[in-house]
Amino acid sequence: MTSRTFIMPTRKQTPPLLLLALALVPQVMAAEKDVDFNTQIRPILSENCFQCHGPDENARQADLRLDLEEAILADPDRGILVRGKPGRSELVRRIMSSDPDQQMPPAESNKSLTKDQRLLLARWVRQGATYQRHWSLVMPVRPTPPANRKQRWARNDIDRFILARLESERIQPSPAATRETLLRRLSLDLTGLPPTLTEIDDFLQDTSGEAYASVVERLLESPRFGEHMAWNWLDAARYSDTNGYQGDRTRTMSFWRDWVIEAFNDNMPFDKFTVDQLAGDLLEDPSLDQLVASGFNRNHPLNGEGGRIAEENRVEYVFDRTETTSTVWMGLTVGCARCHDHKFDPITQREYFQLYSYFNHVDESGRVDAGGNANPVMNVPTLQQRQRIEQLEKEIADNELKKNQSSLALAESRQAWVDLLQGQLETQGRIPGWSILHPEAVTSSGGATVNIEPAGAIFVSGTFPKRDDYTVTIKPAAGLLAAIELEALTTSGLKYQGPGRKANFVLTSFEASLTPPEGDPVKLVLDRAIADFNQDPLNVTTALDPSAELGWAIWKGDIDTAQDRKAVFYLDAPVKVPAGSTLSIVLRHQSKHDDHVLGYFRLSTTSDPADGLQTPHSPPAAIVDILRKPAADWTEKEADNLSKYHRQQTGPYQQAQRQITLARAEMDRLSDKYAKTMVMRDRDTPRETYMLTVGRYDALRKDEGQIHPGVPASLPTLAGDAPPNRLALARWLVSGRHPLTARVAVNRLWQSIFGSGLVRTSEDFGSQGELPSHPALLDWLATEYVKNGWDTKQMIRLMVQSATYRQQSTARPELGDMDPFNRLLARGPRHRLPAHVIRDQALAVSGLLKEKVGGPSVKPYQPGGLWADFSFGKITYTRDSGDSLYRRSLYTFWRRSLGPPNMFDEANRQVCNVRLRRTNTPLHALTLLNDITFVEAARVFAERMLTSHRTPGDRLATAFRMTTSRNPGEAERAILLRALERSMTFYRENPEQADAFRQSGEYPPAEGLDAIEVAAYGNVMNMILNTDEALTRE
Amino acid sequence: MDPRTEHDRLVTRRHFFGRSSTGIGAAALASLLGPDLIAGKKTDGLPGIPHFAPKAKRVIYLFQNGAPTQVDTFDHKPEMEKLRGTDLPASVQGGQRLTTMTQGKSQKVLPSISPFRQHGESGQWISDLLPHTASIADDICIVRSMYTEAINHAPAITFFLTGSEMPGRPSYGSWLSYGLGSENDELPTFCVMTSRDKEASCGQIFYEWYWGSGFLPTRHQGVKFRGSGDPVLYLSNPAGLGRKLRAGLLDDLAELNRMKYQQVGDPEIITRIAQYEMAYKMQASVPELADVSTEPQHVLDAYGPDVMRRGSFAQNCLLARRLAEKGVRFVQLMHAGWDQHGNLPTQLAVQCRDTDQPSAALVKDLKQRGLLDETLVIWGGEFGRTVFCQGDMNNKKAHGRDHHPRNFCLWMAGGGIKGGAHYGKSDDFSYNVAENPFHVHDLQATTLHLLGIDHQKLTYKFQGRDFRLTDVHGKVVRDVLA
Repeated sequence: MTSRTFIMPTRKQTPPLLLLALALVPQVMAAEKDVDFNTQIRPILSENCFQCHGPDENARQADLRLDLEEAILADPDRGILVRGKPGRSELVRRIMSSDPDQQMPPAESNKSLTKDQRLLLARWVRQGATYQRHWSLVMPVRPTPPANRKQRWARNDIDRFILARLESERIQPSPAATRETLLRRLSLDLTGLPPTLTEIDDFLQDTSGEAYASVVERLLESPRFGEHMAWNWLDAARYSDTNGYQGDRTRTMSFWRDWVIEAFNDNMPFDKFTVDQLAGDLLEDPSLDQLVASGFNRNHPLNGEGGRIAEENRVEYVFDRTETTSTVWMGLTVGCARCHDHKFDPITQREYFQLYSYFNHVDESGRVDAGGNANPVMNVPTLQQRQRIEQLEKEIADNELKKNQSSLALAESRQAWVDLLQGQLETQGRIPGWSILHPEAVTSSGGATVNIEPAGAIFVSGTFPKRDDYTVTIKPAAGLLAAIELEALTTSGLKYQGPGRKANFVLTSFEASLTPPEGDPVKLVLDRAIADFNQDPLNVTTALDPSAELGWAIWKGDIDTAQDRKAVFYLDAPVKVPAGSTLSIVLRHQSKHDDHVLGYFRLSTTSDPADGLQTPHSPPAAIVDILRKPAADWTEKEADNLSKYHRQQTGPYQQAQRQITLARAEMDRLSDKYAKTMVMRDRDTPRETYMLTVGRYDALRKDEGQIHPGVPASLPTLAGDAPPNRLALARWLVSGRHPLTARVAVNRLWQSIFGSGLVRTSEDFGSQGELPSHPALLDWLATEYVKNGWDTKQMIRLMVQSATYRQQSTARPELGDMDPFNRLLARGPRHRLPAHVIRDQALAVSGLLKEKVGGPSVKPYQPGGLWADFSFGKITYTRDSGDSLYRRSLYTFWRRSLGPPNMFDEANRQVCNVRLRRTNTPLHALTLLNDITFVEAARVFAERMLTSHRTPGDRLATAFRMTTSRNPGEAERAILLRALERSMTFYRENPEQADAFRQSGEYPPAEGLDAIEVAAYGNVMNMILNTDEALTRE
Repeated sequence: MDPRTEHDRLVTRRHFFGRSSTGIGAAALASLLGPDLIAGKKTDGLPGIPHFAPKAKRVIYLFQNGAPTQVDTFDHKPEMEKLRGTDLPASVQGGQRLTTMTQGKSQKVLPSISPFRQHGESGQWISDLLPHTASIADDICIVRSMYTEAINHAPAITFFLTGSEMPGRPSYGSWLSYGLGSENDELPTFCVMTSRDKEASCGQIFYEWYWGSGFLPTRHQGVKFRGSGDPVLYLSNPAGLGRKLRAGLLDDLAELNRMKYQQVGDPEIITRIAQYEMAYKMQASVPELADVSTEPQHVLDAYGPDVMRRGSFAQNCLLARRLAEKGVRFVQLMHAGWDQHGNLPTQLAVQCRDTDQPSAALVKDLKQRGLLDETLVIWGGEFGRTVFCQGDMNNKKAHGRDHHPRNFCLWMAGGGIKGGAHYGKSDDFSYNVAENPFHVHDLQATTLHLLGIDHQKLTYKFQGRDFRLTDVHGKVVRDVLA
């Protein structure tokens, strides 16, 4: 400790400056209002003192803590602050001191107080040195909207707050903007697209009092609304189509992105929006959508760099989730507390790791271990696939109904069938046809599990060798053996429904031998084979030759392969089977094709060499037993069984079953094409969480004990029965008892509508963040949000319906000094549109925009070589063509290492970003002037105007109006015409240049137009799209 | 955006809402409100900066991606030959962190693959692999005790260029653009060029954040000069639109915008008009700058055989000199290909040949034009390489050296640096710093000092904290100053 610390106060002479200051205090007081701790004092202390005298225990100097009233007043003997007595307070003495050994803050801190700040601190002490908790940590209490002098201006409660503040500063609000400006402003703010000419005309013609409100409703209901709102959420969620880092592999998170769009369009309440994204996986029986939503915290970068330690990556991911979640829902920059207690806000390192612990149990390895994704992942069908699945499910249900047609309807055919079979039994003593074999045993040479079903069919599962031979052992009944039938059967038990274990099979050899009761096996000579389907040239006859590489196969496409097939193998001559013989059949699968083995099959024999593919099977013994009895003697159950068996033999039943199998096979094939999306899923056994020294993954602070999930003490407690998981954290955030969540969320909505938040530092509501410009309004909005059930569209409706929103944005130089940043909103904000909106606008006015919600990301124009350059040729950009060039920017493929080059000033999606940035550089100008995206749009825009309007004046004025929503004035028209003339002159002299310009972009040039005109107008369109007004939300 | 609104982001405290104005305050506001808020236009940067008289006006950073081996270039350890093939003593290794590539494997000493000689009046020890660098031995100061904390490329490069291992902080050049402003009215303040070895044997990705502006306004981010296509993205007019026509149309556009300004009074419009003018100027100045064919033959020859190949390190070095002449504040060259894990004996010579002559030519060229005194040149990578061999000691075609953050070399020249000097010392194995450790943050602090900046005072508030290039560390190493 040096003599500069507070513990060793050396009572030197009071410096002259202090005396002067103290002398001034009463005068200042007389003239000034009460000092407010939160707005006036805390910012000074936080900025200048807390670093050494604040929450961080390890950095604390002189055992002095200035952020807590209890701490400072607990030790009155030190006299740091003596209420009402600045002259006796050490703090005041130190800040007034000019002695380098005494002065606070010390010179080497690079901090210093202004004279005003010192006087303010002194005055605060004089007034009693009262503390307040930091404003954002205190639950908002719903304020009553203030009364205004100007009674008629306010349209809703928002205006009452805004106007009250303006009136207190004696400022008049601005008049309302023109209707054209309002419509363009609304359309851009709510949907990110300018209004169409029809929309402009409709609005101008609608003179009813409801005109504005109905436009607001139309825009809120537009699918474009959700797309527009999704952009900022994607920035916050650090959404990208690739992983970042070395390799920067592609992931498939567009399902999550589409979920966000839909959630905004469906006006999902923000509490559900929160719970689904933070903990959708932990909900009871979560829906597919809720699981997809839980991918919010899987959007962080993934490091696949060789040589990296997987656990180090994993810990990084957990840090990211902790910090992103805190920023997005609480506006807290908890990241500081990763390494040490937060220096400004009441968050200890231990509390950081309590939050961290919520995200530390994800079932992940730290490696990129699921294609370009990392586990845990889930298969998700695309919308199109989902629609097909629904169709197929319906088809299956319909066919199930068909299978179960009523017995009554079948009565007639059943009777005929019974008569026939009973007749055969009577005349021949048996029912002719194929007799199904019931094997004694089946073995697989490759070690597969073979199951013999009671009805004789054989099902293969378990180990899946690439090649396999099945040996089937049967005890056949005595009699003649003329042929063997092999049925390759479909079943829902197999992938792709069979009959092979993976759809198709190649039966390279079919061999049979007979072993009499006492004797050696005799090979049966099979000299002829037929099948109901052969995959050319893999004919069943090739299976007769055990040496041939070929064999019987049945491929008929992905889906149609899934059908029951049969083959018959004939003996050269029927043999007599003595009683007690053993029949052995070997089915070999030794083709060059891997995995082509039967999965489900059945064998039958016949004594009649005339039997073939059409010959039916003899019914099983149980059915024959029933048939042997007269119908009158059948029990009800026997009649039922018979009826059921008969139904299965009917054509409609078999046709329906066939359809079901094909539908299932298609579903199987579809599911192969499902993309993976990353989701949250916790491990069965939670990880042990420890604090980490300076955030190093392997520096576990075991001495500090295990850390369990929990929330900072400065915030409300969790519900009493809260489980230690993310679901509890999510519910705590949106419980309505949290001081930050609603304020932070509603502030971001305000930012999206007014260009900046009521708290400008939308990422930081802590003591280093900016104070709200209108604290009562913020609290009113926050409580309103909770009160209306977190209804996001309603909050936006409120904001845009306000008179505040409708003001014109024209600068008010007289307010320059007083309100240089328009924080008081005495006028509408005016700011440049984000790059993605500028691009979408150009596509919209030119007519190129393809309005389609969702789907995989697209690759529009981008200068050649960018990806190859940065990746040493390992990654190249293959541009899409056709409609994909003209989708909204939201759908542009986002490479995390190198975002789309024309998306200037957009968040780079490396880390969570909730604040907008807008700069103004020559590079932006070059992009908007020269990027083919904009040049093509200008060219097509020109073609559109040339086709739709006749005179140059109309064409230019219409284009101007489509872009800015207003008609150009006379002077503006003159400039546009001059620009056109300038261009026409150039292209008349350089027609080859006009041809070149006309080829810009992939979109086919319109037929029947003069190239010179297209080029000349195109240049003027390019200019219109570059006007300040086109690029600006006014 | 309204420049006043942008400025709002820069101002740390706002008297308007009860926070008094200190630091960059009213004066900065005034300068930002003025017509000078234009990238590339002569601006004075922040008030109070430079904090003291600068030695250097600009920096050319020749960043060697992939980490050059100090063992074979600048850190002469003749005793190592006796220990060839023996195990690196555990006492030297000291249980330090290794990458997963060499963890748990044997660590046999592999002495320098090239002989060293003393050069210049100063007698600096430099490897025979770098004959041209040897010829500027008396102009450079070799630091032999660099050390860093990261062991993988991207975090280590990010550390050198932004002061933090995690992406997202402003890069070195962005800080200078922000603090010092520009000396030039037709070129960007901060220019970046990348290149790689012809074989692309082991290149690391050039991430955009290596020249990103982090949380500083994006006008401070580095402008990448490309090795193919337009030298700056979207620089060329579209097909069928000549420069003369463009000029006329931009006049028309400016007139429309001025009319708008008269109606709504938004000063941002004036800035926009100026930026479009600047864009137009760049369309001429950048291609002119990038056209090296106007250089006399002897100059071209000095930079070596690759000088006419666009995107080569040689041409980039020449362009760096041309940019320095134009007063560009920070030129960042990045050359990949030094990551010789398994091809040191074959690849190192190639890599040295590609970089040695152009680097030395740049220093000589600057000196000859009297620019070296005011231009700080830095040459170095993100870390060093192990003295022990990675891979089979006996197979020259398949061995090399692993990453080594504990100790490595870097050189600086010009701009207030003591020439013909060296600083710091490694242990006998070139494995640990033995004397005068020189940390990455020290390098940043020292070079900022040469530009007249107190590294502790160039700060920007973001997320409630004052950030700076040197994080909360760094000290000026005065022994390397002239």
